[in-house]
Amino acid sequence: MRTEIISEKEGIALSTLFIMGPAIILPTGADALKDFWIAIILSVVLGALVSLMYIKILSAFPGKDLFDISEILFGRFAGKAVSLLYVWFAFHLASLIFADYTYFIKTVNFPEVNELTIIIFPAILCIWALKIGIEGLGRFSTLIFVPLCSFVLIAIFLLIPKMDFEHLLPVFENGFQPIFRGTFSVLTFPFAETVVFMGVFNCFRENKSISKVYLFSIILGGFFILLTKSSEVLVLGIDKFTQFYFPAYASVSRVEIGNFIQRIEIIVGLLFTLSGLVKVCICMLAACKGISKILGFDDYRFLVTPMVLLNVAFVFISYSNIIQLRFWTSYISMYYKFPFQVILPLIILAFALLKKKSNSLKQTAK
Amino acid sequence: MSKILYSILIFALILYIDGIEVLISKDKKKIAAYCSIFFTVVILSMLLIMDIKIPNILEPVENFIVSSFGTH
Repeated sequence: MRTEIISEKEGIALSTLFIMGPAIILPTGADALKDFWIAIILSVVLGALVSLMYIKILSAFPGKDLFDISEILFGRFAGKAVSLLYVWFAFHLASLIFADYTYFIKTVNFPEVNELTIIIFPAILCIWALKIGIEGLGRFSTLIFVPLCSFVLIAIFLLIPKMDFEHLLPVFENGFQPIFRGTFSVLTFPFAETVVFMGVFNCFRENKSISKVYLFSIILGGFFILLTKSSEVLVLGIDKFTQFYFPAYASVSRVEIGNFIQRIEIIVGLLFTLSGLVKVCICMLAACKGISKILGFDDYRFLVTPMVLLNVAFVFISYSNIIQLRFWTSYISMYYKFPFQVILPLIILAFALLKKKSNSLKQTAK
Repeated sequence: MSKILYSILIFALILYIDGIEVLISKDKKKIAAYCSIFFTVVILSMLLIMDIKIPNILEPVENFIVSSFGTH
């Protein structure tokens, strides 16, 4: 397989945009109600801990990705089965983002337009980006990262006159259970979704870059999610925040300064469109790489077009409307994602440590 | 019917633009992998166009999680 190298800066931009992605526009942390901010902070801490596990696994096998590692640890057949599970996870995650794309645009912009017409454009862009590879994606992310983050900060700044800090009080109103539920929900979406990067993060010149990229992007992504969700709740109040499908869009649409600066909700659309594209590309990249490794090919690019088209078809089979999608993301996805994000990596880490120990024992015996 | 013909034309175009590279590589394994995914897409798309219900493979997962953990 052709070696692709990206810099630390590109890696951080890629993974921060991956984390921000749809989490910016959806009511992330809504399970914790008014204590959503505590849930987000706790989930950043837990996300960093979980990412330490991913870093440990990747660092134990320099230059290898998750699919190579699972074959080294579990053997040919069991390794391929584990790889297949992660291919499915990445593929399904990409379909969720495609569905978010479709229903976001359909709900807020084009209610009359057919879903396929909406989805086909990001799908074509995704195919194009994947044919270029992770190097192109990395450069694209670096290019859009600073403008997008600036847009978020400007939008929040413009929302300050509409904010009411009473919306955050009282703290701990509903006890600890909603906070735990919210933390669990935010951990599984979006922080621990970075498990997908284990399939593509064999592209750094130095092995230590992985830890920098993982930790820095979780902190940076967490900061932006906390900032945006706080501004949304402060503007809308918790009831509207949990009721809206896309609270970010609703809150930013309230910006009105002197009848001049208004209707800037396009910023939210732009932010989601670009960061969502990065996320969907990373997921599909991991899925295509995984499939090509399972089938024993040295390049994934020839599989990109049919795989992305398959994903588009899968979106229509799985989520026929926004209510079904919301039900899945709010109630099902956290339990479904947890084994892929924490339990399986824990098993992989245990096997990696055992293998390392047995190797060092063999070396001392020699 | 025109919808189906239209879709077949689009798929043929995709196969021509993208798949031709795979076909001329003469790597049988590569062609088999490409075609198997591609024709799955074609079949699924045709079923969707013809409004034939395709079982949702996420439904059993959904039912299992709802019965195990509930929904709030």
